[in-house]
Amino acid sequence: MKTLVIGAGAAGLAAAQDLQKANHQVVVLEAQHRVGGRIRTDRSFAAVPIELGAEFIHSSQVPTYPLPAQFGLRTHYFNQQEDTLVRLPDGSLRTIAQVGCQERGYNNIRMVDWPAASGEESLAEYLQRNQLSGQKIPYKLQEYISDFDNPRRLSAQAALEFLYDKSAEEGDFRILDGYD
Amino acid sequence: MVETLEWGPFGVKASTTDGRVFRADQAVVTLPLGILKAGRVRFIPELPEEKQLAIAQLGLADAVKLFFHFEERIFPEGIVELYVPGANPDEWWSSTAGHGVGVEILTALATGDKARELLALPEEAALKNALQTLRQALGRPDLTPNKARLAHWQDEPHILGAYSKASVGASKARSVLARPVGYRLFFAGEHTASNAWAATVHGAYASGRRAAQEILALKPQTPRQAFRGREVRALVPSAQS
Repeated sequence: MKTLVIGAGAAGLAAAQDLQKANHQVVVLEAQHRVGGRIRTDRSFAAVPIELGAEFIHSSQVPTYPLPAQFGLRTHYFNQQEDTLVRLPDGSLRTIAQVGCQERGYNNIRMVDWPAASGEESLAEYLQRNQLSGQKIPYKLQEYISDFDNPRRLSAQAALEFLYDKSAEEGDFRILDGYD
Repeated sequence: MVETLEWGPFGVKASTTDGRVFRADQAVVTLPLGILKAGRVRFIPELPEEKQLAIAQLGLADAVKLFFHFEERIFPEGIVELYVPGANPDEWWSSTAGHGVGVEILTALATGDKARELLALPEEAALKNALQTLRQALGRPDLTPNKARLAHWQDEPHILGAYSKASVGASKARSVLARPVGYRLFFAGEHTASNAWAATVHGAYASGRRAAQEILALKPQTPRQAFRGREVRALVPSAQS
């Protein structure tokens, strides 16, 4: 069996690797003169690499988590609680551990009873309907909103599927030596 | 780059812009959502309607990253991330944390309207505005980086966008995009991951492995009952041998 893999980003390379291991014939086609897709480490900006694309490994619960150690790469853990500041309306800076959602904190997200989304409502409608705002919103959901768009434009159902995942229970790992 | 991708009972045939042709039994299509939305690769025949609808429904996040290099540490000891609700950008973190260096690179991410607002400006003005946000948030009007730059993916010709976003009404779009077509086209990429894992490297990686498993399940030694119906068997030549 012969397979064409179109694109040499994380998805294409993972597919090609598994197919090749199973003794399939694989040809990977890539439009650019580099592999990695939206992973792109830049080493020209500073003595320390920066990531123009993907930057973090989102928790120890994901399949890419073991990879840095396998390749001898160092990581730094961002716990997003004691090590993360939030600016409060009065201008003061506090850590998420101090002021983050206590009642529905992201460490026990799976234990709290988040109401289900109603049909294809927006995340903004969902939050309003359930009177969730400000510090009642756990940091991982704040981050989801920051990472994507205004909650008016996001699907509540999809956001909840993220929030209920194991990967949303922890902080993020950054690869110090570069993602590439 | 691949210009057309033909698929059918014969297998798949990819033709590139520089005139090369690649044939195989099947293809794993990991083209970014931005490329699929722009129709940069022509599928012959066209993808099923449900796929085309999902490509249109699933959003593409506008995103910009901004990098500021300071000659000194900026965040207090033990702090690596800063969230400034309502500000643009609202998400800041240290890209030197854990390096044990005396300098600090602060990286900011803006998305949606905020990203569009910044990207509408010349790079220098966008960086200046973002720096102003940081100065206000930390109460340090003196903060001045010795180097700054930004990065985004929307104009990268082979990418055309940062990552997928689950827009209102698109909570099922990613699972539709992940479905194989005619046992010839298999799909992977961050936009085909679950809503929990999409828009990430782990989502992309897992989707690639999933697509490989789907293809390996087509192998001759797979029990025939795995394929239901005559049409499917006819499309899997190796299963007939």
